[in-house]
Amino acid sequence: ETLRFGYAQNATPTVEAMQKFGELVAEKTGGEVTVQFFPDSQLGGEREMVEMLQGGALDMTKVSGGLLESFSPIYGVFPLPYLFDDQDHFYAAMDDPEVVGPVYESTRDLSFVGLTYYNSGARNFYTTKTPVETLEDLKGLKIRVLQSPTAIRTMELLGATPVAMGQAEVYTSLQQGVLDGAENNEFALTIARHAEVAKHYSYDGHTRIPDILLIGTAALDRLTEEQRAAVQEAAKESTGFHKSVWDAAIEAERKKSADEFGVQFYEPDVAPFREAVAPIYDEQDDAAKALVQKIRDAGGAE
Amino acid sequence: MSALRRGLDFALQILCCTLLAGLVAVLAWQVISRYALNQPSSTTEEILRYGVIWLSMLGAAYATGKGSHLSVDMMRDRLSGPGKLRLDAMIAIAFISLAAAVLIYGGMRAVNIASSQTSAVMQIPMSWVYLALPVSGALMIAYSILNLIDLSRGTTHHVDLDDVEAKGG
Amino acid sequence: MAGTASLILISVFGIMTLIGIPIALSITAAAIAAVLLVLPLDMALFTSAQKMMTSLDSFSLLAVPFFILSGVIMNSGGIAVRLVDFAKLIAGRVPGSLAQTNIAGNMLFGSISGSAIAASTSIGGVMVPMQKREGYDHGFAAAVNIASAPTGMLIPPSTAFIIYSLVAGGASIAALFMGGAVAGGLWGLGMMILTAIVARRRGWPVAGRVSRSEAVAVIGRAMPSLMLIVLIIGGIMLGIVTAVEASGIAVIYTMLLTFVIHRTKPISELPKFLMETVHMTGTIMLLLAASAALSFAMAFTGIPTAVTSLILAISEDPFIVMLIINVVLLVVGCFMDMGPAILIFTPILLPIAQKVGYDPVHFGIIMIFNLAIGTITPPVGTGLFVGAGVARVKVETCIRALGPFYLLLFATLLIVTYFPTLTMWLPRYFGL
Ligand code: NA
Ligand code: NA
Repeated sequence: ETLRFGYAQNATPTVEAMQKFGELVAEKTGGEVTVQFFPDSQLGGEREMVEMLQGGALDMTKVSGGLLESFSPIYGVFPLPYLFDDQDHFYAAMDDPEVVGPVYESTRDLSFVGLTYYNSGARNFYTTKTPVETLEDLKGLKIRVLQSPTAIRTMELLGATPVAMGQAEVYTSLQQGVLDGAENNEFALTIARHAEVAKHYSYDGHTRIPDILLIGTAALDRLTEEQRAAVQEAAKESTGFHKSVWDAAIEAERKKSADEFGVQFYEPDVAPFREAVAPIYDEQDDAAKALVQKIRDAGGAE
Repeated sequence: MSALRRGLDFALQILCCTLLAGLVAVLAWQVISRYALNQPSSTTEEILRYGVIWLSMLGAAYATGKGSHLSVDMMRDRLSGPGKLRLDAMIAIAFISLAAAVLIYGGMRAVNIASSQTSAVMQIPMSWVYLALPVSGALMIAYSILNLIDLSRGTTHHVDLDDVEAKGG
Repeated sequence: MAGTASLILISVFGIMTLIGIPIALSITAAAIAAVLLVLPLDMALFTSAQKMMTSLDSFSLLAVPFFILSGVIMNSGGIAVRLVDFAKLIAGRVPGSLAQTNIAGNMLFGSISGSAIAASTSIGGVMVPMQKREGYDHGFAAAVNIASAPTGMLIPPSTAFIIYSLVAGGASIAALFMGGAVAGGLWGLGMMILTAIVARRRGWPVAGRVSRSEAVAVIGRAMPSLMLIVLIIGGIMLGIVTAVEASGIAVIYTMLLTFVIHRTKPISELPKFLMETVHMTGTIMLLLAASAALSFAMAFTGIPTAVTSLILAISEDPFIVMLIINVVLLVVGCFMDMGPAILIFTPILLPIAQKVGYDPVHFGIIMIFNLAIGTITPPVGTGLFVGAGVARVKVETCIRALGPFYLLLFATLLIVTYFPTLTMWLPRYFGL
């Protein structure tokens, strides 16, 4: 049995974790199940690959949790600003089956389910001209955001001007001044080379959106009971592997941005940021509020 | 039959002209809202993207009726009059089969799959976007049948590009 | 399997196209036939439909209908004539001045819009009809436009380099942009020289000298139309508008000039212009959509990887290896679109190129140059098809006229490949 697994461009630790998943599946099933990878968006964008899962043309994919909001509204909780206090809280919540289990299952009717998650770091602001050191600095800046209502609303609450655009346009838009800044993890500075045009990186950590590993229900049905268990285990272990390499990788990117590109790093006081976005939580529906509460309870500080 | 074709053409012309004019207006609004009001509208880009998809697919169907899809005419230029008509009949049948298989059958599968999704900004069902495929497919089939009927009466709709030029059209 | 898939793909496409079935249909059929090797029919039809739709949902294509519309209005409303008079005044003594203007226009516009298709439709949509009216050979006029449109993919800013950098594990985009500017400049310069030679040989009209008062009149008449170029190019360069927004401004401005200021056409003609645009957009977009389905079929059946491993088993000599890589890319570029080709071939070919001593930046420039040529070569070349559609000239007529340009581009590609200093001096000068 071969599982066709397509994914988009990714940071090295995530690519390694997915490859690890492939090795583990083969190992645990004694070679009965193998994973065939289609890397680097060869088959299309993340949305397209989810649709291929639904149509049965692809067996597995890994996408941003933010994208899944348009398939299943409950995923819309993950892009909420300051949902997680820090990385430890993030891991505690995401490792809790009580928290994520129902979310992973929420798309079963759509013919795919979640298997596990990978950390994709914290999204922070980076700007071309002036650094973001206070909330005031963000006023009126044109910031590129993901094409998601939550991301747009968050920027509005923070006083920035959100500009929704695709990843490929960001570099040039920063360079030409169509954008004043963007927001992403440290890999955007180096892998996407945004550090060539934006030199101010501010650790406000407004969101931590997990990547989600997905499998089609049709693919699951093709596997035996034991093989399914092996796939589940392999997925969990690949997340463990991802955690073990992530921090060092992020630190390396940070160092590279500073040494090779001269990026300056800032640590703004995030309390005013948190306060500014608070209203977004009142705007959520009951299901979302319930999940938010579960996440807050999972080792959350407050 | 020519009344039917005229009716179809007219309906499509009204639809497409309105759509394109509307998209120009939306684009103008995007520029104004970003620079005059300093409040960029993320809705407009989504309207434009989906509008252009519909415009393209409707335009592709319209071009099927006019026989103006690009082809390599090396063999055609060597054919006799009746030979050309037979080739055009084959093209019409190819349009009918592929439109039925890909645009209508494949397109409807995509519509169904996309019905569970909403667009990122406006939160409209993504199936409305994918619907452009089967609608275009149905129109292509309608035009191809009209073309076949005209062919049986000896009239072809194939546009010969180099001839158009020679006549200065 | 990849071998079988290639065979199926080539024969289905080849037979259908040669019979005279519309190219978009032949491409779609070939894509489905190949995908059938790995997927059942219903899924093959679904994925093909999906690819066709999503390929149209693209930021870089968004501007195309609007640039076509402004081109259609310009051609009918006297704007084009005024601009051409101006171009003749400036460059009229150069052999083939209109074709030269087309090349320069494509380099500039393709550069800022980042899209060869947008350049080919907007600049070519105006310049090709003018060249025909001035007595240029139709095929040649179309060929000049087609062959110069891809320069914009090399001259920065260029999405192609950004995608490449991403898959190449972060090659400097700034360095790629600088090297790309040199390579794109070489491409354009070569085109201009070749065009001048052809124009002189065929004796195409060179504008006569004009009096000062005539010159002033020409400039005065062209002023409002020139403002359009200033608005669009200046707007994009200064970061005031995106290419898509610029296309909207172009439409509004040309409408204003034609219907209100010059009043060369009544507003009642607008529906006709709109329909002409829809018609042209439909034929172009169906081709682009079909090519996307074909690229997907190739990736899914593993054709690219198989072709590469087959050919690269031959040698380890840097000269030969790079020659083979170029041949592979040229062959692939003949079937596949630029975007998917970059995504698929960079991870396969870059390590090999690095092993024989090639810098990732230099290799990126070679690769994009190569694939840019692929967009205008048969059998599948979106730039070729779109250019033929815009010019309203048969594809085979265009291909024939493109012959000398292909030779020129292959020669330039070899120079870019084997003389690294040529493209690399600029980035190196800036220490990148
Ligand atoms: Na460019
Ligand atoms: Na080609």
